[in-house]
Amino acid sequence: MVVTFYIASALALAAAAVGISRAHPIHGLLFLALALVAVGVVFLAVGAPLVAAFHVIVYAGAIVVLFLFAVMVAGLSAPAVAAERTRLSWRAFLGPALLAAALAWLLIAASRPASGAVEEPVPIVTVASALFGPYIAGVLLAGLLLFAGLIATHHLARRDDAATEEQR
Amino acid sequence: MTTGGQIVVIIMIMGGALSLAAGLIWVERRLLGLWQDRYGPNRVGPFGILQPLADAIKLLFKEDWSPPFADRSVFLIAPAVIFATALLSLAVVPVAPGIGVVAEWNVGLLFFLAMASLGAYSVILGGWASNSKYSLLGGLRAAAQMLSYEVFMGLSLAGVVVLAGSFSLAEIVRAQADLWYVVPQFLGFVVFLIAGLAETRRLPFDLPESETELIAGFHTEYSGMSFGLFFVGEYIGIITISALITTFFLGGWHGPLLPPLVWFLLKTLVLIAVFVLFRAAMPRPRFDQLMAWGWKILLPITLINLLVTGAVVALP
Repeated sequence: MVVTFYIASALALAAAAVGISRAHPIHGLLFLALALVAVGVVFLAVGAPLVAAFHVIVYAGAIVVLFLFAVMVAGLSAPAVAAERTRLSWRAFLGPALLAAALAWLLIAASRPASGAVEEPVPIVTVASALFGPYIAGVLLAGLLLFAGLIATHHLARRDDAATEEQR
Repeated sequence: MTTGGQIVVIIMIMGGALSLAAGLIWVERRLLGLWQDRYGPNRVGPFGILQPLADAIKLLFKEDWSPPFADRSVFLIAPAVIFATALLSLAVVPVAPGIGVVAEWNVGLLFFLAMASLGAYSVILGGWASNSKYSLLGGLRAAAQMLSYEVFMGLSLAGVVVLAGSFSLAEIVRAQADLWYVVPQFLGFVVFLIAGLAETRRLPFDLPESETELIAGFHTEYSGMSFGLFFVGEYIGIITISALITTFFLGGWHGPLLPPLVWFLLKTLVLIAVFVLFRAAMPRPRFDQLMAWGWKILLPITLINLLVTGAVVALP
């Protein structure tokens, strides 16, 4: 499992690095999806199969697909890709790289050194009873947020009654 | 099980699924012929049974042409994705007690859902990379359809998980020793069947490739073996969904007299025939009808089903 952990982590980092340096958004999204699946494997390797499965289902399986959908509907033309290419200079990477380095330093400083892979996978029942026991407030808040999002979407998608009648 | 035995099981399941997929091409055309009062393929070999072989030879010797306007790398990856994800889904299916690649895995059901959602990439990318308007429309339809029906697919299985108390497919089958889940989870069964049709993009939900409007939809520009991979991937998808319906709702390998493996294969094959019957008998809905049915009918049904199941299980 330790070998799986390091291979998957390397793959995730490499895919993320390639993903942000693509001029074409669809190619970038594909590498993002690859990075997300690799992070799912990382979760599996450290003994969190439930998180791994939901990570792949939600992020790689739904959210990136929605991004793809939006990019396809927008229908980017060759000039847009060419314009993106001119923006991709090394200077554009300087600021984000500095911030990411600071974040990485904090993460390394905060975490115990080389905690690495866990031998014993966490049973799903443990996760469930934690979520619906001590962390129930967080679960309910997340649900509430999603519900607010649903109402907002419904409001935004609402059409004029007159226009709807006309279309029918 | 020893590593050697495990490898034999993996090879048997993969080989079995692939040869069944090839055989299905013939079975489907013969059954369609039967139900539409005509012969179907009956020239190559006895009863036309060698037709898949002839088709395979034809596909292999055709030029594998990719259009100059296509995004070549994505165009080539797309068919491989559906093939890989459909085959990987079979890994969590228990075909008989103790026989299955990772049938005891405690997130087997979620792994199948993850593979189903990754399978959507294939169709979407194939449609986009072809860089033609019919393909793009097919890809967009596939994205919307598969993303929506994944939701009901997952929710329709929640009742089964509540009853069995496990995400492991082998555990779910063992829990059905007395009563198949098709009885207490009938709504879940119906929704899963419909969602399975939509996920495999089979008629009546083959809107991403509906030939009357979109020529061939997302695979319009594909030829040769890249088309063949989409084609066989679809059949493996049907096998996977049928095997999973058997596992989740029809008691898996359970059954009297006959050995467990035979029961499992029998149930799966009957379901595959039902899939073909759907194709022979049902008209294709409009795309807005498909989406409206999904979100306005199937989603409430699955939520009510889950609520009732939860209440029944929780009550003493």
